[in-house]
Amino acid sequence: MEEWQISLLWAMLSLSLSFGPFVVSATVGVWYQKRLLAELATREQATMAAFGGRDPLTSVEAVLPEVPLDSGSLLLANVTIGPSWWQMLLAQLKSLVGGRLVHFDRVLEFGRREALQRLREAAQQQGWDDVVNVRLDTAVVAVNTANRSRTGAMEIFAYGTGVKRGSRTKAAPAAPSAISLSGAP
Amino acid sequence: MQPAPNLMISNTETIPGMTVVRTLGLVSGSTVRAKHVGKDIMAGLKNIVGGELKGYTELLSEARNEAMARMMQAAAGLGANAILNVRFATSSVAGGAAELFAYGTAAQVQ
Repeated sequence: MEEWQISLLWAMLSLSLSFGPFVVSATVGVWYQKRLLAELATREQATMAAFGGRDPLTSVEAVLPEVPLDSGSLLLANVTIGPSWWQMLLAQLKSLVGGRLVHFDRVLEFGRREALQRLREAAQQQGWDDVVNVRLDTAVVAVNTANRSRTGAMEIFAYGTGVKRGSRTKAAPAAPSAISLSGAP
Repeated sequence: MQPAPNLMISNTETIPGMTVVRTLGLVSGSTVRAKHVGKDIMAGLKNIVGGELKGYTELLSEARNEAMARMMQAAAGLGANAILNVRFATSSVAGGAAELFAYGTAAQVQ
């Protein structure tokens, strides 16, 4: 092999090692995250349908004052998410001028919806009618090893109390879907 | 880790369907966890495309369960059969370590 060929190979190798992950991130990563969102939307619809077309999650303490509750138990759900390298790069460029970081918006929106969906699924699995007093918590758990100033992982933690509605109603029957304040769109 | 005692837990002011007889004071449980190097490398690779980092999700929910178990043991030690209004807090204490903290009010319910 001639000397120029070796140096060309060397240049190609170093180029693909330094830019390769970003190319993968910008192509595979974007496709992968779109697929995750689509899957999440299907799961959300399936769970809401199982709950009679309403969102079982509420951020208030009682479902409705006149609905008595039979039993309840704490439910936990969490998800750890990370923005892709491509999103981190775009965010870093955007942070030069400031303003809204739409790419991180999407990552966090996905995380919140996923955590809430897992809470719904836990409620469905355990047979609760509603989840009251839902709270969301976000924590940064790791910084990217490639660049220590960038966030690599965030944990979204959702919890609430799964409750079983009582059979007897104290007052006039109320519309069951009157409260759907929290939860994903 | 000892098995957690059987207690009723909620993050509401009462246990649905139960009456609070008396409260026994604040109970808490915490655990500090460090990340696993292998999981860290896997998470770093997964970070290229983004999405969920399953290794961390499992690690954190395991740690949170341990914090809960400690809180439940503290409550059982006070003679409680329920913990009311449970809250959680997460904080990263040092490079690569996170503290998971759970607290609530131990109570006797009927």
